[in-house]
Amino acid sequence: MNFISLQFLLFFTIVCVLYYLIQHYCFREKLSQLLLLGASLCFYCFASIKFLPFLIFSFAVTFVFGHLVKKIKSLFIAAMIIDVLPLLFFKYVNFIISPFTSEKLPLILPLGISFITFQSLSYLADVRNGKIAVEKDPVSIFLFVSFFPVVSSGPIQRAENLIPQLKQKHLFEYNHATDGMKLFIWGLAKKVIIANSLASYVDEIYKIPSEAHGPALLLATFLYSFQIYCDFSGYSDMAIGVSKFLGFDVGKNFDHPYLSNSCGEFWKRWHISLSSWLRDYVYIPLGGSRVPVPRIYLNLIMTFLVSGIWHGAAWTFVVWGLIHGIYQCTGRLLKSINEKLPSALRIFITFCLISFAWIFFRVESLNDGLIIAKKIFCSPIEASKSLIELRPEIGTKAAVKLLFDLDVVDGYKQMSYIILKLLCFVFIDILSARKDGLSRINSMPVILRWIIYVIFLNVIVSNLLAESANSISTNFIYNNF
Amino acid sequence: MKKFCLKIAILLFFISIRFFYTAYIDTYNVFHPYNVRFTEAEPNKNFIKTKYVVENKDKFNAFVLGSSRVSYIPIDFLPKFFDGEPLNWYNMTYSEGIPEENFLTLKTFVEKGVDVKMILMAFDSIAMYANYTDHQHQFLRMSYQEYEKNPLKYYTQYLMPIPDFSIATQIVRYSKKENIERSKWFYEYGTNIQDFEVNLEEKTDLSRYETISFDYSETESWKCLQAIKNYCDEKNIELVLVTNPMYITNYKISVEKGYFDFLEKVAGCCEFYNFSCLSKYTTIPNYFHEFSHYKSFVGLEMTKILFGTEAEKKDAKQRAVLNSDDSDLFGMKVTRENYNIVKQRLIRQLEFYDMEAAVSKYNH
Repeated sequence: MNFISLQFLLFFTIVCVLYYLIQHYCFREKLSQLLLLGASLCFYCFASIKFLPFLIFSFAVTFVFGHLVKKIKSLFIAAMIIDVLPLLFFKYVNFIISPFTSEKLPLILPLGISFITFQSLSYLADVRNGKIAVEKDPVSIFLFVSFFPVVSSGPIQRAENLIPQLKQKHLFEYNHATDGMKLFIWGLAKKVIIANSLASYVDEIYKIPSEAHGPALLLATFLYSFQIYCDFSGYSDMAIGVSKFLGFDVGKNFDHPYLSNSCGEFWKRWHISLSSWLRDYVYIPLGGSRVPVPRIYLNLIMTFLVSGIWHGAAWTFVVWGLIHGIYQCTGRLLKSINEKLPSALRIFITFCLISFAWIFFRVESLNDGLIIAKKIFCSPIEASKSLIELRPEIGTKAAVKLLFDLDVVDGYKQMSYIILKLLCFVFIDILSARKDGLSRINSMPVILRWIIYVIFLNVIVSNLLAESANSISTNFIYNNF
Repeated sequence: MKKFCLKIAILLFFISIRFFYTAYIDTYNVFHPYNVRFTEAEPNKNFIKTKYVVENKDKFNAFVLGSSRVSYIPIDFLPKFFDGEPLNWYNMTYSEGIPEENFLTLKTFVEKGVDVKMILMAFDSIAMYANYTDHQHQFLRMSYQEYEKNPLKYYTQYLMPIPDFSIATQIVRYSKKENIERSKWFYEYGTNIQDFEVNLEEKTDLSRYETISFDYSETESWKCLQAIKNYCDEKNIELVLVTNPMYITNYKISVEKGYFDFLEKVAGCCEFYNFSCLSKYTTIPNYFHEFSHYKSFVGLEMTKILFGTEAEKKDAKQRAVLNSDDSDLFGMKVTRENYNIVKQRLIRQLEFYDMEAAVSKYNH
């Protein structure tokens, strides 16, 4: 069930009403949990009932092996392998067999498989390490692996954070509800107003990279950086908002990543729940930074390779992970030089490096990625050469339009509209980096706040209607992982 | 909880104001199908007219189909009877009406119980570039059939655009009384008030007669014409198929883009009366409103050729003639058998026409 759908609106309204009725009038821990579990299963099955066996399997492995690992620590490896098996099968089997056969198995990836598996693994590892007590209640475990606000694309939950909250009584709190709604709407705006309009340009330019002009590819690459940010952080904000509305705190997943001074800092601000997971369950167990320097670099590269492979079974993701691994190593090596540069320049360099890496995340094949990289690096020469040649014939405006392939979005007018929306977003994002967006809006005078709500919601609804009329997909990029 | 619900209700109220406003201004008139308001924005006539006909299914039984170019065919001069039964004509034309849409309209009428007896359908080069899919993304042209598939989706799409200020002003100031006659013509005949005056002395702004070069693409719309013919045969509906007179600039571009090939395909499956040729009317700008729409006078002359007596036909053809060799070309019946001959004559007509001389003659 997509967050951006009338079905979800209806589903969530019903769940909220029932949930708060239970909380207020007949609170029983089990009843409350069963309601949430029922809702989570409904949400999950809405994607496809065929996915349910995987969810049940994941729950069974988490619950049973949680008890076993507590008693026999050496079973952890076996538990880990069994837990990861469905992910390996559904996500990687076609990739593994691809060198041997051109035929692919007709597999459909169960909803949230990567997120559920990582959540389950973190529980088993924490139980093994004695960080948390084993959970005896199967309903809590089932709900932990299937909690509907975060099941499809995170934020990846830790048992120590979510399970205690599942047992608490959550009375309706006005501030929680309104903050949750505001976050949800802000996430919706990022997706509907920004990400989808950027996608209209990026998708067209990236469709056949060999036919696109270098400057167009350069622009599309920068715009893709914002598209994926608005798409994924938009989704995360919606998931956090939905959880907050029900009284749950599922943590932060993004913290203005493009304002990072280095690639190392970027990963502390981007997809925080995944990067902290990789840090705690891959990088540190490999030895982390408490090993000789060459080994640290190896650990960093290994960790980012895992991150790349987690995102998708393709060489493009491997390369993307490798690039980030190399960035981390280089970042460590050049730390002293980087720190001497002005902050704005460091932010810009980091943004360019991250955007370059996104090329391999976005493309269909490595070959496309190489074509794009080559064209981008040649784009300043191409642009100046073409401008000199074309300007006398068709004029500067038409030449620029041609170089940036603006026809794919109906020319200058539409592109300026897209850029204007993006600039507004960047402005708000920078403002909210200095002071949390929620506190900023809550501290505004009531009338101004309400004017903003009404205008903002109108723009969102208009965009939603326009997108639905033009059959533009409202699926999130990270739903594919 | 009460405070929260109250605030949500207030918020929803404020948000809905914008949608009420959009529905009230209703640029394309789909929320007011029985109260067409004439502003500078053209209403969605496909939707309004089809809805009006199917909801008044006993009122009309003969229809003029085609694009807005055909809207100047005078209803009053069309046949009053067919097979002894009275005919009540309605002009079901609208902007860029194409054969595919016309076929859907016809089927809708029949399926909704309209007793269709006769169809006069005109087409031209618009059928070569306009297509149904594109029209479904244009508020002015979204079809009634899309509304039938999903009324909620159809209306919500019209709630999306915030109306232009100028349209909003026109709607607020709109006087129903002042437009009562125009409105009556729209619902009674599906057309504008007819004016048969043509002043050949009147100075024309030739810039309005320069044709835009359209992006022509391979079209299958001739198959829709064939489908209409088959459907009419099956349902016992009399079909009169004609091509529109096109102003010379428009006609020449259409020919360059393959209009004759298109007509050949049409002739291969149905007979039609051809008015797309060089004639007095298509070479003198005063007979056209601009490059696209011919005036009611031309429409009247066409009806005489199509439905008049032999003497009326002869006179009308004579009036349209450009030179003596082409005396029968305007309104000539085209069949599979004679198409090649007609085509050669049309080509020759174009080759020998001195465009520059004509332009200088009428360049007032």
